[in-house]
Amino acid sequence: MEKLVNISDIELGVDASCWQDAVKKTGEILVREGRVKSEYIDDMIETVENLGPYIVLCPGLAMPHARPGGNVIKSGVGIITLSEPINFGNRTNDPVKVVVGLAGINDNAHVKVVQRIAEVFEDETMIDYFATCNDRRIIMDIFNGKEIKK
Amino acid sequence: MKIVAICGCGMGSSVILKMNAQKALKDLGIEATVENSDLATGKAAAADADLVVIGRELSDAIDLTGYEVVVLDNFINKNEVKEKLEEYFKSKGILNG
Repeated sequence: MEKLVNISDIELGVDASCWQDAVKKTGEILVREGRVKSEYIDDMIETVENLGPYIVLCPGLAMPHARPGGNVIKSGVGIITLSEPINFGNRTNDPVKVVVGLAGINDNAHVKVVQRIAEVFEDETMIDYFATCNDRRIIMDIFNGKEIKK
Repeated sequence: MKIVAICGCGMGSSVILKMNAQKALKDLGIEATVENSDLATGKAAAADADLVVIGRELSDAIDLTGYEVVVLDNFINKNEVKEKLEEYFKSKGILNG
């Protein structure tokens, strides 16, 4: 499987004060890695403010993102695990432990990484596995298709 | 049959919904096409669709009165998608139940 995620796309045990801060922390990875302009962070926060916390896809996992547009440079993800779980206001899937910020330009790379997110977290135990993991390499390998050994 | 999966931007959760709905439909033996769409164009896309699939939080942000809708809590869980689609198709007599 091709490499979807780099080690520099991942940060573990991140402190965040609120959901906006958690989104910002993943956004900062996307900015640092040259995937988005800094304005994209506000775009992601606005998406939740306007449409609600639907980006909490399943218990413990949020996937903030915004429309493809001028603020996205190339597709990719910024992955963080939170030192303390945070509520996004989702009725069924709070609290969030893992945040995967998504930048997409509706290309093949973007669809592949979204599909991989779904495949990885279909195993419901992965959220807590991620949340307690202290090795970014393991997380990277999981996203890049390495067989999961727990 | 045509199904539309709607999310806020048409590029995140609806991509996952589309993928999982396609798998569920295959398992259920139902012939259908699934498209994903964003909220802004989703309603127009839904007008000529037989069914809308959408997440619970987002279903509050769009008025889908008059449309056939299946609402999901968990986008990732293939079983939930399959169970809810199966329940819907049974209620419509499309599947035996």
